[in-house]
Amino acid sequence: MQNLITGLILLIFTISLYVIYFRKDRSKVKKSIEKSKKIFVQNSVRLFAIFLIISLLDKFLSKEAVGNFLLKFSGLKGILLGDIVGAIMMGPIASGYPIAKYLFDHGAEVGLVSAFLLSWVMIGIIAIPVELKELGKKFTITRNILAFFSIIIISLIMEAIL
Amino acid sequence: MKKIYKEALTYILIGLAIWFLIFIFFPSKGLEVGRVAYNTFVQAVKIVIAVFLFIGLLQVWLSSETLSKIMGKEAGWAKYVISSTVPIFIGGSLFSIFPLLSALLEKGASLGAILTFITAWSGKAPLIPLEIHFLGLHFTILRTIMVIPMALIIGVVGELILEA
Repeated sequence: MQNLITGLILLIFTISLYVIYFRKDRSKVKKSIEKSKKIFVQNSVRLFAIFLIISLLDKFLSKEAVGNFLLKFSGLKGILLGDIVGAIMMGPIASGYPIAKYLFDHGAEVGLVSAFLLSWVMIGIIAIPVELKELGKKFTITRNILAFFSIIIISLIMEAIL
Repeated sequence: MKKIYKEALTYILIGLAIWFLIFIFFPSKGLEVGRVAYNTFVQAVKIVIAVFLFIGLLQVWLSSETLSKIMGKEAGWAKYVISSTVPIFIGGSLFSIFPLLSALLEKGASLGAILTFITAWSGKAPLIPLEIHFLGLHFTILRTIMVIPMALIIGVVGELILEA
């Protein structure tokens, strides 16, 4: 639901930008739509295939299975594993919150849960091919490694504060 | 354009092939998977369309000079201020954000700004109400705030590494 609303707001925002610019210069707007169409066709089908894979994993990796696996660990090891498992998990982060709640309810540490959630959003193993294609090898490697380690540091800080 | 359609077709076929295999081995799960895939797609499609329309607009209207002034190398600290806060409010998934980043890069944004941008984007402000509902106020606020220093550090350090 949340996603639907955000999507709608973004869509309205962009369309109104188009309307504003349409008054200024028609040919440029046409060019914009041409470009968007190309990117959209290129990506949306790829997206649908990826969503299919995501939902496959969603069905086969149940909330309890992931939760129970992570609950075996604590401390720095827990944070590390939360980081790694979060990178493997995919799909909208909204489906990660129930897992995080399950972890909290069963006594997991703050560090583990925050590492899990942060790396779910920031690192996606399934997204790496797309990242490589759009942004290049050097960028992808640097970004993912930096993200991995800064997630560990932030999780340690959150563990200390909360 | 023809090449693009061809590539798209390949992806559809791979996806359908995987789905077909699932149907053979786990018929009940096959239906379930289709349903979840459809829901995910419907939820994401608006953001995807909006982001791509936005990219098209960026590419035609925003001149390289203007963007360089905002997010380029010469922009100094201003680029970090903008790229560590604005993206928090954009939703969507990694897949819709990468094309936006590459469009910004092409227009002359600096690598550090891009790294900061994508890290800050993981702050996910649109989902905050949901996160509070599941995980509580303290956790949510702290996690969201922590994203900003993290984005700045990754941006600055990453630019040093990538430019070396």
